[in-house]
Parts: sequence; structure tokens; C-alpha cells
Amino acid sequence: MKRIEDSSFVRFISSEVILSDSASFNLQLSPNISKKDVSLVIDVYDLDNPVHPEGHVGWWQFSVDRLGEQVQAAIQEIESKNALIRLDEESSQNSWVNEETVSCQRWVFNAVLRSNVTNAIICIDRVPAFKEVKAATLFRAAFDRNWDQPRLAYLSYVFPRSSTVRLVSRNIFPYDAVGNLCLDIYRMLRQNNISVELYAETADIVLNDIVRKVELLYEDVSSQDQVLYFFSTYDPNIPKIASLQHIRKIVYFHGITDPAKLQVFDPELSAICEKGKTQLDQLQLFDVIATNSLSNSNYIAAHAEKKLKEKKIEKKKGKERRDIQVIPPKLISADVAKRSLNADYSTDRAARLLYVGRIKSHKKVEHLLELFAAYLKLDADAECWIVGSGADKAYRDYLTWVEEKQLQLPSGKVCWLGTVDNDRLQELYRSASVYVSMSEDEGFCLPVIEAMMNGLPLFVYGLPAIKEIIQDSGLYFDNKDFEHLAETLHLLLRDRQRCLDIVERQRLRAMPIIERMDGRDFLRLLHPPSLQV
Amino acid sequence: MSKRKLKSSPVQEATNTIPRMNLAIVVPFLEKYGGAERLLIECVSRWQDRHDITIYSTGINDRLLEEHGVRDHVQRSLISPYFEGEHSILLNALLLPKVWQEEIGRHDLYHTHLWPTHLIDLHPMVWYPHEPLRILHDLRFDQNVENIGKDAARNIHIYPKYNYDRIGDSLYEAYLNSIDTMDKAVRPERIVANSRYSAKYLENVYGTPVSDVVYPGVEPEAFIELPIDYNLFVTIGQLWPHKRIKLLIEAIALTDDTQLIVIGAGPEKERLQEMASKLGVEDRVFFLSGLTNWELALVLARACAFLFAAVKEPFGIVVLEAMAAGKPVIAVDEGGYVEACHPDYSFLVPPFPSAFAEKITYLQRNPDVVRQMGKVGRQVAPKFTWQRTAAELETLLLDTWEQHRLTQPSRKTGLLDGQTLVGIQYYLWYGEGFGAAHWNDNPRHGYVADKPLLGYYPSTKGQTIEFHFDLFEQMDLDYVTLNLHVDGEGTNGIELMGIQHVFDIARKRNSSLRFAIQLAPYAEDTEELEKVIRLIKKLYMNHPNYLYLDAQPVLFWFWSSAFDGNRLLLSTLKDMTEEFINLAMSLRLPQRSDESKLTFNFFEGFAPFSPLELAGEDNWEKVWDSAYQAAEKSGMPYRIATVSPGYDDHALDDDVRAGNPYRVVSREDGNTYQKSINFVQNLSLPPHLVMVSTFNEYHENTHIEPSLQNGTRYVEMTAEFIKEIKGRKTNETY
Repeated sequence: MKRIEDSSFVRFISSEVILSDSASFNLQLSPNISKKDVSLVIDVYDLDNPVHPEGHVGWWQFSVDRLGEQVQAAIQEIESKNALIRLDEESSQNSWVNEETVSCQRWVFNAVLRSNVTNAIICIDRVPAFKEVKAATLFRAAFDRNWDQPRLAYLSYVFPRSSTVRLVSRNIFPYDAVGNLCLDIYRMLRQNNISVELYAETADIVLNDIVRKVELLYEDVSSQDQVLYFFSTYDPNIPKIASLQHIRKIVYFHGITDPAKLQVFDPELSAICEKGKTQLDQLQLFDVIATNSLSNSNYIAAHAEKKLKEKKIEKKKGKERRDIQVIPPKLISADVAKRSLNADYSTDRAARLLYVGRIKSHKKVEHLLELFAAYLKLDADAECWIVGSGADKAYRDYLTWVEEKQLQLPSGKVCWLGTVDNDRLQELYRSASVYVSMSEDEGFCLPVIEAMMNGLPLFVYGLPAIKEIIQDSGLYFDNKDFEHLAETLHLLLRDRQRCLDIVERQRLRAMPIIERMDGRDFLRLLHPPSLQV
Repeated sequence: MSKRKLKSSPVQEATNTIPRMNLAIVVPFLEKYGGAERLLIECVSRWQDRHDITIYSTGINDRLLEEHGVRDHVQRSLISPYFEGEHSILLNALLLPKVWQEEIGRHDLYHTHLWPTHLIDLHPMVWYPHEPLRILHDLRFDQNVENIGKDAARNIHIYPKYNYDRIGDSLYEAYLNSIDTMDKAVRPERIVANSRYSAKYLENVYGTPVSDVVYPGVEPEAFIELPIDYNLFVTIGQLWPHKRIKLLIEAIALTDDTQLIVIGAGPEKERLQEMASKLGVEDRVFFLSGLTNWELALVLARACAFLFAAVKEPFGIVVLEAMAAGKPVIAVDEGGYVEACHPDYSFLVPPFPSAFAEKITYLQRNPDVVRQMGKVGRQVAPKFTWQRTAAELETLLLDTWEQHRLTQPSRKTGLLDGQTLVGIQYYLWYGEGFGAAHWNDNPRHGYVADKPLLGYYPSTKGQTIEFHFDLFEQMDLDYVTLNLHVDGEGTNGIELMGIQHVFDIARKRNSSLRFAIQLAPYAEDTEELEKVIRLIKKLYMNHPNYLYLDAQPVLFWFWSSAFDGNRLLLSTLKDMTEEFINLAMSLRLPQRSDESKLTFNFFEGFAPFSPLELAGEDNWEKVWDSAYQAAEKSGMPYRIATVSPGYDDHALDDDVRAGNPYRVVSREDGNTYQKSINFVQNLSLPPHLVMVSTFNEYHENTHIEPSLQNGTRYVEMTAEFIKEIKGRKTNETY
């Protein structure tokens, strides 16, 4: 079978469809599409329930034979069982429309290039669709677009006028560590009046008005620009980005989660991480390398040395290993930091074990439940608060089984709090008794520093990246003997003086780290060499 | 008198009617946890308290054994690893089992797993092949072809390798034909198949009935009831071409929204991933490996159904595991597991992607059917338990052992029927030719005045040993002690090799002679002694020609008295030789009442090595009688008497010997020998053992072997003596 060009693409010209305006949208098809091999499918779902069949409005498959590079689509009766989409006034070859009416207020329109032989997806783009502009405005407001707040670091040098910073990540989603960092840096650069653009292959649909498709990067970029690429997973675009000529390229490596820790519940992500590890060589093609922790810095260096050995290239005498900058993966404004660091720890509250983080299998939330089950035997009033989302259904199902069937924890003792806003999160940090993490894979572990800031004692599994942050302030453990851990934690929480001592040591340890997390290190990273002394 | 000490355990006490076997289990590789290894481990964990088990393998993962409850008292012994490089496929098939054969100790029964362990020529053997070497048969033309034309080559895989051997086509058939010829050269006493399908297959290959079938089992993890993902399908298997994962990937590509999880590793992974990518299902087919049992159970728990497409799988434990996890099975209608499948919980289909795709889609759309089939499968699976597997296999092992024992001549214990046994001291330390080891190689202890009729023979050569066997048999000896010298420089290598040859020749001649090793420790080197004793236990103790008394093996000790009173050494030796009856052939007399203070009840019999150098001729009878009585009086159960033709070590330039007043005791043309014989014949309480000292100790001139000086006189006298004494019983008075 002939390989379809990887660069074949389809994209929506606009970032949203307003049905009241025109009941139409425009698409752009890449010029190199092999017309025999692919077809174009427009697939429409309920934006708030994009599942088959309940939220599936229908799909329409078109031959690309008669389509040019610019395609106009007409939408008819999308709210009824007679929904119909035509492209350039051509009818679809095949289609499926839900026999049940899908009643919804807003939609997601997917434009999909599919292989004719295997039906595999070659490229996909999606936009939200609304009945009216008002609905679109409301939708966009779900993500706060006040870029002025909170105030991040000020620039200490004058940035060149004609230079744009292009922030690139394979995915950009709010509430995701990588996505958040991209958006925070975007915010900081805007605050400093630096020209900045965001690029991703996939982004949260709410952001598709500010995040450009990554293939546009190659058209947009000029030699005065800098590209700051965020590397956290396999990305087919890396080779092309890494080989951009005459442009200053900076890579920020978040670490790649151990695929073995993901494979059971998220085999797809595990496979992507596995492939991502094969791209570590590409780091060396960037002009500057930065990462989130010393342990990841060592990991990159060790990988580079291993590769040299494999290629039997001896390290040149006197040439030390490449300088890798270590910068925490989160921006925190000085105001927020100051407020947090003044938090008090009250020891008279009941035992509340708090975990904040994604609900993914490498975080070992089931171990937290096991520890909590052991703790409940010592203190029946204890509660476990779990903040975070992102669980694949499979892992969430498993955790439910562990909680209800395997450990038979009393109802209500484990509080699954989901995603919370910053204020609520701070409130939780300040009303919990201890922060507990059983995670077995972390590049940095932001909640640990947040807990330290907010005066909450840590009781955490001692991964290298975590030990690097806490040093000798919080309490860590190296093996998971749940009974023993529960007893130790129980003793700790009953020892007021010890808790206060830990909180104080954590605060002292966190202060210098947080002080530098206002973004200044990223600004320094973007300092053009021509301005450097 | 039963002195065999067995460590008892509750399990053993509960099952003490089962005879305890000294069982060797041989498996090529025991590091990963595949189907064969799992069966073996499940059985061993259930047998370990009832039998003395030694596992032989090229690689043993102790942690794996420990994880599955196999404790340290199950012995482990590494055998030579697989050959690598050119012609290794042939070496591993033909030579390696023979190398292993030399490395494996002697046991009551050899239970071998997988191919080619049946080529180890040790018996009785029960072989559980799991499958024949399939590249010789049904997979002969199914190996991946790497090139075609002039450079045609195939990727061959033979267990337990986890990589391919790349074989040029010109050699491929030659290799297979050579292996095929050898494959049938050795016949285990019993072949046990893992399914009726495999039994038939093995019968066709080996041309012998295979009537014993023991199915593998399943031990489901705690049942995990997770919500089912009706789009998720799972298969388990190593990634080799004959596992036909590609068929399943194609099936997935024919269905909508499904995902396939492939659990397993192997060299086909990249090829399969590429195939999935080309079929556009790269994001729907995932390869998982290194899962714990628990993780595997979690994946299965979520799945809609289990898929299996391997070519004629001999059994397919994973199918049982899927049933136990409550999953419907969609599998090809061939192989062993078919015998465990029923339409109520499984779809057996032809090996077509479309056939799989049809059933996948059917189950995907019919959750009620999935639940119902899963429920029935889960009810059926417990019929196949590991407990059942272990019990059935154990019965066959015991039966094979019993059958073998019935067809073997019983061990010559003598004492069972009150018969005195006559043996001889035999030295295997001679090198080849004058000036070689022990043939006048040094003045201190190498001097030899007489010359054997055979010339200055090498002890290790087969012709020498066969000649000596002829003489032993002509004299109608019952047993022969094989001296093994251990000193500061280690163990005598010539003697070791000679001993190995003696036992091999005894087996080959089907000889009724029995042999026991006589350790001659000259240094307090417990480490070396322990090594030697371990070796004796491993290689010889269970050899059919080893000397047993009262069902216990015998170990002789040349006891110079240098270690008398050394409690630490003797208690260490006692621990090391727990299984043995230890008998002393000593340079001193046993002490009637104080022997226990000197040797701490280590010995169960005690006799002079040379009766002639203990006293002047006038006192011989008195001293001999005293020695004979003293051993018994000091509580030793075995009575031993020694006869010797003369003694003369005057030419040995050794300070240790200088003080002995009886260094030259003339043979007197046979009269001296006759006196010692007469003493034995006149004993009122006959001995259990008589020792002729010696057959071929030329340095001290105690040899009776035909020689230039003595001719065959002493061999004839010995034959006459044995004939006479065998008419009597030890419990009768002469």
C-alpha cells in the first residue's frame, strides 16, 4: 500500500462556526493530498456529550476528487434527524445520521481525513459550533482571558521589536501541567509586550482561537524569532522543529512518564511515551536545553552519553557535558507566593489526607486508598480528599472497585473532589492535615511545592525529583508497607510540635524556590544571545 | 535400624504414605514465567515437602520461585548454558543435552520438561515435552524467510532463546535432518502430554503410544469485577510468527472502534507494530509486556473477550486463564485448549481474520451474551486446577519410579539376607607409564617395586578399568572401594576421573558390582571436603552401582588418626554426610570404650586398614580380635574385618613412616594372606563386611592384582576365600 503523505492535512479556516450567521464553514485541504487514497469526513457531535450514539449527530463522507484546496461546506437542519452537510455543493458518498434527535445547544464539527483502504485517521481538525455569537462568547469565557493577572516577572532587558516567541507543544490543555506552563509563559510574555504565538497539534477546543495548528509554525516563523518547544511526549513534529534553520530553538523537557507505569490502564498513552523516549536524541539539536528538575537533567545527560557510547564517539577532552538549565515547570506570581507562604498550620483539625494531582495510574492512587484503609483502622474519623481529574475510565473504574469492593471503605470517607479552582485548592491545602503522594513517576511534582507553600506537612513516596525539592524538610518513605506507614502517619499527626517543625522547615526550603518561579528564569532563557554580555 | 533423617513437615506427615523420591527436575530455562515454567513451578510448590527435589536449569530465577512459594530446600543446580554462534542450533540440539547429562546428579527419577531434555540419557525418565520440536514437523515450512534466491535464509527460533538464529537455506534442511535423527535416539520411560491433541502429535513423531495426558491448570487471582469495555479485546502470547498475532490485528482492522491489547514480548513486535500502522490501527493495537499477574488480571477484567489465534497450540494455558477471568473466548479451532472449550463460553473459528472480526463485532454488540458466556466459562475453569495437575503428574512419576524399581536388580545390601559382603581397596591414582603419577614418580610415596601384569597402566583408561572389572567379577567380589585422596592441594584429579569412568563402565556393563568411595583426608580443609562430598552426593550416591547397606549409601574413610579428637571437624563432617553410613579404615585400632571421645560417634564401623602393620606376627590374632571386638563394643553396628597379603613400604623415603617397627611383613608365599583369611573364617560372630586390603596399592606392597612377582596367586586365593565365605550368613556362627 502506498504511504499517504504525513503532511496531508485538513483545517477549518475559522476557529468556530456560528450557525445564525451563515450555516456554513470553510475548510482548507493541503495541496498534496492523494485523492485516490483518502476521503474527507465531516463528523458532528454534541459538544457537551461527544459520545456515540447518544451525542452523535452524524457523519458525511466525501470523495476529495472534486474538492479543491478551499472547500465550502453548507449545513442543513443540524438540529433534526434530517441533518445534512454538503461540500462545494456536492453530496456525500456515504453518511450516517442518528435516527434519534440529538438535542443540544452547541456542537463540535470534526473534519477528518481518512484512508480509503484502512479507514485510518490521517488528520483531524475540530471547531465548536454555536447557534449564536452570544453562545460562543460564553463558551470562550470558560477560560479566563485576562492576560494581565496574575502579574508575573518583569523583563530586565529590552526585547527586540521584530522578534516573536513561538511556544510549541504537541498538546495544550488548561489544567494540564504542560498546557498550563505554555499558557503562563504566554501570559508573561504578553504582560511584557513581547510578541508571542501558541502552536499545538491538539489543543482544548476552548483555546482553538489562540492556539494555532502546528503546521502553520513553519509558515509563520522568521529568523528573528525564537521557538520554545515543550517536550513531554512523542511528537511527530519534533524532527521538523528541531531542524529549523537560522532560528534560535529552545527545548524545555518535562520528562516522559515511564510507559510501563501507564500500560495497564492507558495503553495508548503508554505507547506514545515509549515512542517519545526514542526521540530523546532530538534534544541535542536544540540550541538550548532546559528541564524541570536535576533528576531529569541527569537523565538527559545520561542518555546523551549512552548514545555517544553506542556510536563509539569518545567525549572530546575538556568538553564537559552540555549545560542543561533547571527551571521549575510552573509560574507563580510573587503576590500569590507571598500570600501562600503566610499560611498557618492548625493541628487541632481531624486527620484529612490530601492528594492533589492527575488521576493516572502512575500516580498510584490505589496505594493512597490502601494507606488510607490502614489509617482508618487507627482513626475512624479520618478522611481522604482527592483533588484532580484526568482519569481514564478504566483507571477510575479500578479505583472505584478498590475503594468499594477490595478495601470496602465506608461511604463518604474518600472524597473525590475533581478539578477545583485555585481558591478552592488553596482552601483545601489549608484545611487538610497532611499532603500524601504515592506517585511512582514525577518529573517535578508541583503539588508538593504548593503544599509546602501552603504550610501543609508532606508525607510522600521518595522519588528522586521529590526528594530534590523537599530535601530534609518533609517526610518521605522508600517502601510501601501500608500498615507501617499508617502507624507512622498517625503518630506524626498526633505530634503537634513535630508537625509545626516540619511545616516551618518546608516553608524555609520552599521560599527560595518559589521566589524564582515568577517566570524570571524563562525570561532569561529567552534572552537573545546578541544581547548577552 | 533406620537412620535416614528426613526433615518432616505437616504436609509430609499428612502424606507419609507416599514414598519419598529423590527427584531431579530438568528444564532448559527457568527465568521467565511462560506456560511451561508456570506448570513446573505450580507442581514443585506442591511436591516440595513430599520429595527431595533438585531443579537443573541453565538459568534459574530464585525470586520467581520464591514468589510462587517454592522454598530454599528445593535444591537448584545450574547446568551449562546454550551455545551461541555458528552451528549453535545443532550444538544445542545434539551436544548440549549430553553435556547436561554429565552435570546432572544421580536421582531416583528424572522428570524433564521441554525439548531437548529427553535426550539426556538418564533413567527412569518422565518427559513432559509440552510440545515436540515443531520446526521439525508442522512449523518446518513456516519460519520467516529473510531473503530469497541465492542468499535465502530463515529466522529460526528454538526455545528457550528469545531471539532468532538466522540460518542459510542450504544448511536449514541439513540441520533439521540431523536433529530429527537424534531426536528419537533416546526414549524416556514415559511421555506425558498436556492434551489429547499433543498426545496424538507426540505419538506420530515418536512412533510410541502416549497414553498419559495431564492438563495444565489455572489459579485465578481474586476475581476482579470491573465494568467491561465492550470495545476492548485481549490476547496473550509471545510474539513469534506462529502465535499469529497478525491475524488478530487484521481482524481488529475489519471492525469498528475496537481495541486489541497484545500482552507479550518477542522479536516480532516491530513487524507487528508496523503492520498495525499500515492497516491504520496503530492507535487501536497496543503491546504490553512485563505485567505482573495482578496487572494481567486487571487488563483481562476490563476486556470484552479473549482472542487466541496461535497455530496448533499444544495446550494454551492462557485460554483457561481467560475463562477463569470470566471472559468469552474467540479462538482458532485447533490445538489442545479446544478440548477445554465449549460453545457455551467460546467461539472456535477458522483462522481467518473475517471469522474473528464477525465474532468480535457480535460480542461488541451483545453485552448480555458477553456476560453470560463469561459466567459459564468462569464456572467451568475451576475444573482445571493446578492441584489436579500436580497430583496427576505426581502419580505418574511415582508409578514410573515404582515400575523401574521392579525391573532393576535390588541393591546388594547383603545384610538383608545375612550375607557377608567382601570388598576390596581399589586405587585409581596411576598415570600412564613408568614415571607418571604413582609409578615411581617420587621417592617419598611413589616407589613401586613390583610391576602389574598389565604393565604401568593408566587408571583412568577404559581398558584398564574393564580388565580390573573382569578380575573383580572373577573373584565374585561384592563391592569395591574407590580411594579419593584429598590434601592441601585439593582433590586428586586422576582419581576423580577414574571414579567417573568406573561408574559409567559399571552402568554400561550392567555390572552387579557395587562401589563406594573412600575419602582419604590429609588436610583439615573442610571447604574442599564439603565440595567433594557434595559431588559424591550429586553424581554417585544415587548411581545404581553405589554400595548401600540397610538402604543407606556407604562412605569409607581412610582414617590416619590425625583428626582424632577434632570435635569441630568431625561434627562438620557428620553434618555433611548425614545420609551416609561412615566406615573407618584406620591406621590405628578402635578404642573399646573411648572411641566416642576420639571420633564422636562419627563412624558406624571401624577396621584396620592394614592388619599386618599393627603388631608383630605373634600378636596378630590377639590384636585382630581385639580390633574386631572393640568396634562393636564401642557401639558401632557394623563389623568389618580386613585381610591383607603382606606389607612392605621400606623403600618409601617418608619421615612419617620411619618410626613404624612393622614396615616389612613378608608375604611368605601366600601364608601371611592365608593367616588373615583364616582369622576371618574362624570368627565366631561373622563380619558384615570383609575388606581385602588391597587390590593395587603397590607402594606398600599390599596389592593382590596379578603382577610379575606374584602372578595370579592372590587373586585365586581371594576367589577361593569368597566362595567359601559366601556359604555362610552373618547371623550364624562359623
